[in-house]
Amino acid sequence: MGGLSKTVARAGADWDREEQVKEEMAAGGRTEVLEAARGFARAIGESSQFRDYEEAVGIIREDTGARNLLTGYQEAQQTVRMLRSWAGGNSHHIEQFRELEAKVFQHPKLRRYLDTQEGLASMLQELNKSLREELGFDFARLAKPAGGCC
Amino acid sequence: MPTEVLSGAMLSFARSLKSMEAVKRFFEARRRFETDEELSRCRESFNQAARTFRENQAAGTLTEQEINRVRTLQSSMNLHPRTVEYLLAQQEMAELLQECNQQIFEVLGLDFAAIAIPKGCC
Repeated sequence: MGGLSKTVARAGADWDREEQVKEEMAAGGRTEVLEAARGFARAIGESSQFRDYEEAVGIIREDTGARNLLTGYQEAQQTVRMLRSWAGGNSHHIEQFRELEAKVFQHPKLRRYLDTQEGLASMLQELNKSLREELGFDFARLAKPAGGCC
Repeated sequence: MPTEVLSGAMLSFARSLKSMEAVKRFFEARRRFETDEELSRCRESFNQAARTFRENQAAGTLTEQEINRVRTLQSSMNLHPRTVEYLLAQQEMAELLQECNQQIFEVLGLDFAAIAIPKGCC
């Protein structure tokens, strides 16, 4: 029995060591993949699309009038979207939204902000497409926390 | 167009992800989910029953029995061990991907997944 106990104890110790090695390897892999994600982010941060967008954001941040106009436009956009999803639009809200939209698109700083935002979004979508081709699944779709995509 | 540096960083990130156990388990679970013979038969029966359901619903001849058959087949598919295994593996991998997305957010201040998600997802 003594021999058997020792064998069982040794097997248990081996199993524990094996599990420990597995855990350490998993932890190492995790650190590595998170660092690779940060490296990917840093490379995005160095792209001209990201820099242009950051610059445009900085300009808007300094301009209270532009910022207020943008906020008003985004709120009106959200209201119209919500009303449409409920029961079709209300003409007053749509008219107000169209007016703000025209103002925003005629505003050089805001126009630049929206253009650079679109440029950055296109690049990120393109990168996600390349990631999908490499990985065989859609990173963005799965990495987006539950609760719908909108 | 992404620069060489950006493409390199993307590839390095993708390779690193593919080496993770959670991702390997997902691939294996997906393969088993897609190739399981019993589940394939279940899927075919469900598709056939769903077709009959739609046709009879349009014709106004849908029976209680047909409704129950579609429900039962749907449950069999959803509760099949290969389906459960696949969904759990996907969930486990999604947690890792969300963690990676969080790292990207911490560097850029942008939610990569929210912006890069394919259009028409809603």
